[in-house]
Amino acid sequence: MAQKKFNIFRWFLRTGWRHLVGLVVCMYAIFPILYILSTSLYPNNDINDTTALFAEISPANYIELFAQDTRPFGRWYLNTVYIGVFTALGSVFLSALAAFAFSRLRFRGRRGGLLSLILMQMFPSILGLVAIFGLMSDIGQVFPQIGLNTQAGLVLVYMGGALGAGTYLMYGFFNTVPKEIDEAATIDGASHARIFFTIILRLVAPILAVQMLLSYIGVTSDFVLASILLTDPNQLTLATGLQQFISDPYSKDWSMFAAGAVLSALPSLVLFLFLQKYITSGLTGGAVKG
Amino acid sequence: MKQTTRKVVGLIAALGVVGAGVSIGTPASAASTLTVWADKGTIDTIKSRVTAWDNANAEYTVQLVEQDFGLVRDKLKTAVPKGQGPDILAGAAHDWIGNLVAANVLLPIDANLPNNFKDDFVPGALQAMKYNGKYYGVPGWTENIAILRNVKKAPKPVKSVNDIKDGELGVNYSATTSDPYHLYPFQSMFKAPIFTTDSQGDWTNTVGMGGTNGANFAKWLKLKGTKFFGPPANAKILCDFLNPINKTKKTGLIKYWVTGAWNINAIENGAGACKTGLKIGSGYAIDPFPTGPTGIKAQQFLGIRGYLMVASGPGNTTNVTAAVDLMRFMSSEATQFSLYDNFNKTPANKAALNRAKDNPVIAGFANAANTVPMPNSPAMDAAWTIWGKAQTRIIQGKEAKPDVAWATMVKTLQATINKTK
Amino acid sequence: MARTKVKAWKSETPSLAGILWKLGTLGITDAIAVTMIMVLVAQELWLATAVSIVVLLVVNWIYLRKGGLPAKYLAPGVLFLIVFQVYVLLFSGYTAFTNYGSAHNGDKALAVQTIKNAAYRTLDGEDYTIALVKSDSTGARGFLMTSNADGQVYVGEDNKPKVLIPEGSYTLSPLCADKYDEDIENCAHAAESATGYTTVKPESLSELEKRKYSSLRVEIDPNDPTIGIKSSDFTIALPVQDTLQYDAEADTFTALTNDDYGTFMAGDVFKPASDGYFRLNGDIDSQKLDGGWRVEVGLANFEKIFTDVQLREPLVKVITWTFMFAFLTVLTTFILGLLIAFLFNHEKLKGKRIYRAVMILPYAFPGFLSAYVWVGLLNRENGFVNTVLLGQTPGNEGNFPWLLEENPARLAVLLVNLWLGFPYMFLITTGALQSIPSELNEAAEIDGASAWQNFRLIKLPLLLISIAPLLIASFAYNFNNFTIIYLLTKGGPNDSGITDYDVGGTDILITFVYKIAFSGTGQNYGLASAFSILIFLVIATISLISFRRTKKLEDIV
Repeated sequence: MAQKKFNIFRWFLRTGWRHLVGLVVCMYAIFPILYILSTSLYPNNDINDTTALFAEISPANYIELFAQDTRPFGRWYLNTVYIGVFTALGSVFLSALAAFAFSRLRFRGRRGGLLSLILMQMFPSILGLVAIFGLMSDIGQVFPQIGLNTQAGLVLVYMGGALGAGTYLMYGFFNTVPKEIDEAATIDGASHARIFFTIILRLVAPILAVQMLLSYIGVTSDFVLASILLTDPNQLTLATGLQQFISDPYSKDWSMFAAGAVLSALPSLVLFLFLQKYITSGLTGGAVKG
Repeated sequence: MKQTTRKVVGLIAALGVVGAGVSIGTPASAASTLTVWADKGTIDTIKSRVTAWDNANAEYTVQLVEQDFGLVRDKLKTAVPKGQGPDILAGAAHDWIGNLVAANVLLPIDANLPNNFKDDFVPGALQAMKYNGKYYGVPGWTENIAILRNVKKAPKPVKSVNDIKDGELGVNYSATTSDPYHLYPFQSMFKAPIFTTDSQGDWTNTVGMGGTNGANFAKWLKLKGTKFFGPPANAKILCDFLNPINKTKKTGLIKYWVTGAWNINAIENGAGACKTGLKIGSGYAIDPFPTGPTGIKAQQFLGIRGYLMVASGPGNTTNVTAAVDLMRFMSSEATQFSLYDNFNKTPANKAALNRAKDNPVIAGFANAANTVPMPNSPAMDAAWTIWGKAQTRIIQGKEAKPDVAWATMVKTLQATINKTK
Repeated sequence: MARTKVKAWKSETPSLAGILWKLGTLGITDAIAVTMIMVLVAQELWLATAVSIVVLLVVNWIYLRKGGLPAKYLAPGVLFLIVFQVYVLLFSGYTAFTNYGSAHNGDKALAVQTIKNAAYRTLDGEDYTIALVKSDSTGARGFLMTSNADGQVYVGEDNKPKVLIPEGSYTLSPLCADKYDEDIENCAHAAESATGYTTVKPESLSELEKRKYSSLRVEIDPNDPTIGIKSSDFTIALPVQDTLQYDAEADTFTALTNDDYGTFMAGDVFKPASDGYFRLNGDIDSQKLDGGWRVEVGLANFEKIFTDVQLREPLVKVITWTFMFAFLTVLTTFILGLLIAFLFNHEKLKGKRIYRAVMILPYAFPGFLSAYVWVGLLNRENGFVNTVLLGQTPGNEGNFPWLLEENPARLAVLLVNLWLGFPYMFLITTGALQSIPSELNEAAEIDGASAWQNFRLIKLPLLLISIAPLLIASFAYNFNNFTIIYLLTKGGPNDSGITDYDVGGTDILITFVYKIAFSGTGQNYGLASAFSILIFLVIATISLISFRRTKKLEDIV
């Protein structure tokens, strides 16, 4: 018996406490989400009403969400996926290129360039709204396909922010990849492009995946830029569209909002679960062997 | 090959953005589209009538674009100088006009309004659309607040504000910027109008709520405090108004609610956790405001929600003809009666209002009205924040000397207004 | 300390496939760019054309020349950066030196147009229902005018007096003159055509024709030729008198009549004044015409920041809180994120993936939406947190005032931001931990290092190399974390006392600046931009210093 008690104690010291902390943090992480899920399933709920979680379960809100003709939720959904995917691909690619240069190449102005990139990110860009609106309006006069009220235009604007946002992050991770690896490859006669695309990118693949996910989530969360650049109800993203449900002080519709919120979070969630596998199987194996 | 393939996939994905944009982006064809910006509530209200106009005018297509009520003005100011504004701003509060005119975004329509048209509206409604002698829009519906009384809890209208006990009143005011609109009837009980008026009864830019009257109001606000006015941002007014009194749980205490027609739907049908509504007459009544502590009759603001003509930016032409026609259609008797009939909007059109007079809600608010038109000058725009802030702070007991705080507010506000002259 | 590790990268790929791919992608890019340039040329946008050509040439030079490797990797990103970020930055920088704002909302052309739009007054008297006509004999444009006062019908041509048309020479429309007249049976009918004239439908006109018709002015008062009728909507014409005349050459407005509102008298001349208004004689202290434009004001905005007494007290408070907020956010999210990352970097932990999936949820939810949910959760009377988690009585006004008082609101903002931010830190620290070669771990274990030693001496320093820049970035991000503050509290509760400025207890600099720029009294982009520049200088300095330290870290490797 004494033997067993000792084991439990050891188990707690080794792994048990991890479960305890994990559970507590999980509660913290999940209760607001359970709450919104519960709201979305509860017909005619008001967010300020306290009812027991999941007191009533009905798909009514979800059905109504797709039935609204002035608020084409389905369209918003596709728009967001389109914008999110292209932004994620584009910006991760751009910042990986730049991060490679900063991390592996030595050139005049490297430090200055990196520094400028970071500093530029620190400019309080909320005021840039006016400038960006003007810019996109001007572009739209000449190229209506990428101007105001187009998703392509919005993707371009987001990609404009990619370099600043992503390069620094990726630069840090590129630095943790031992330089000996690419030095060895160079000696073997590999070109820079080959090293970048086949060695470095592969080694940081988990980070790229994480980055894309972050970028996608960033896009789905943004409503300040999107709301000023997109106006046609059919062009809106989920963030700008959903915001409409609760922006009017006299007709807040929390139920619709909650249902829409749950659905709009789904892709990021699935994406994460999918990428999680990728991350865990990531770097552990071949780096130095390659 | 594999690695190069990947490289190309990457690049093509980047370039694909441009390509996909070409195929997916829909260029706006401006020629015969009339664009109307409005908030969600307004769109729901006007949609069927706008469609009716649209169907009758084959050469135009009306596009209703939903905008956030709180942000639409900022957006307009950004969009119009770039020629990206709408033709009409619908459901606009008339007190926005001065500020929008100063920002170069509105177009006067005097030359498009026939003389006989000007007699079609209730007093003050078309004037509310006028700023510096020019009409910038047409009235849609009117709004004023009244005292809504739960008949079961308070069988008789309350005569004096002194007869309302702590906890019996519900009034919406926010924690951050207060809400001078809902508190104005109480302020008017002290004869402290927001601005002074000139010989013709028009508002001036001189703050009128200073002096002894203002100081007395400020002291009264502090005296009454949150006990009387309730907590700021009170989300449970509706339930407390609808539910019967429960002394042990301290719920259902509110007998009188300072609000407007926009809450009638919630009162009659219930909302959120309070599912049971009240019917007018047997359940609730619409009363005039009680007189002040010293017997002065209260006044409330008359608010007009209207259709404003938006100016076009350089290089763009607004469809003035069609836009004015649509606006006149929306201000016609038929439309305004329809908006009343379906959405309980009080018509600004005289003939429509006369036809609607039998409705107890419309009659109730009309009967309760002792209104002054809300000023529509930029000075008014400057006032809301600081004025409301002073009220909220005093109610919450954050100002030890309410009269001094009030005087500071008046002085600061006047200085701000003078600066922008 | 000279960098000796400069590498001998092979400057070009030797493989044929590589070259082909490169040329192919460059070709596609060039094709798109050339198409765009052609569009620019077609629209005669010469400056844009020139800039585009230069950019195109530079891009081709970068990729076709030998060497210059860094540029090849940086060019795509930098191009986007310049267009969408550098431009915005310069624009904001310039704005700080202007009076751009609500009342100076655009260029001078817009202001002139605004004044011109309102430079008339309508007179009492008869108005007319009109139809557009063209004379069959001369081809002159004109109005067929039906008086709404007495039903008489006239025809009028530009700058000529109206001419009465006798009954019988015109036909009345079967429709009511005023189609929104409810009295359908007795409504007035207007003439729709007249002999000798062809009626023109407005919708069939070209833009140019429309403009010609809308500038048509018919004299209606034989005694006063300044009174005429005009129509901009081609259905109604009112007697209109012009009040101001714009002289484009002299750039002045001259008053033609006395203004009903006393703004001007006949003969007054309004000239552009230095504050972006047309003022009487251009004198800055005198009467102005409504309609301002953006002008440069030098350092006035900066001066205001440093001298405005009203601003001082709230500003100090806001700055202090901004630093606290950013620092505490980074600290709390990093500690929690790191803790969990280590927790789960344990091989044998069961249910690891489930935990992980749950903890990442706050991140999968759009941040703006989470903020709204938290507002509901933290409601004082009925919020979930108070009534369920803290067990307080629902509906009680004495419950914990999460968002309603300053210190609780600050705590709430930090807690919500921790909730939002720890999964991010968890993600990046996990990523970083996994990129630490496992051989290092194994080596440490073989050396007999304890877990704590392993963490402190090996993992943490390595982690910090990749994470430290992120912590700085996170600090800078939160320094300007507009969304969370604005959506949760709008900067409130409003404890700032009675000032002109809308400042609250949780306002950080960026929300404060946003309010200056976009809400309340006369939006002031100029002042807000001046603030942005100052904020930028502060945060840039801090980051710069921190960056120097990471340089040391990097050199350790």
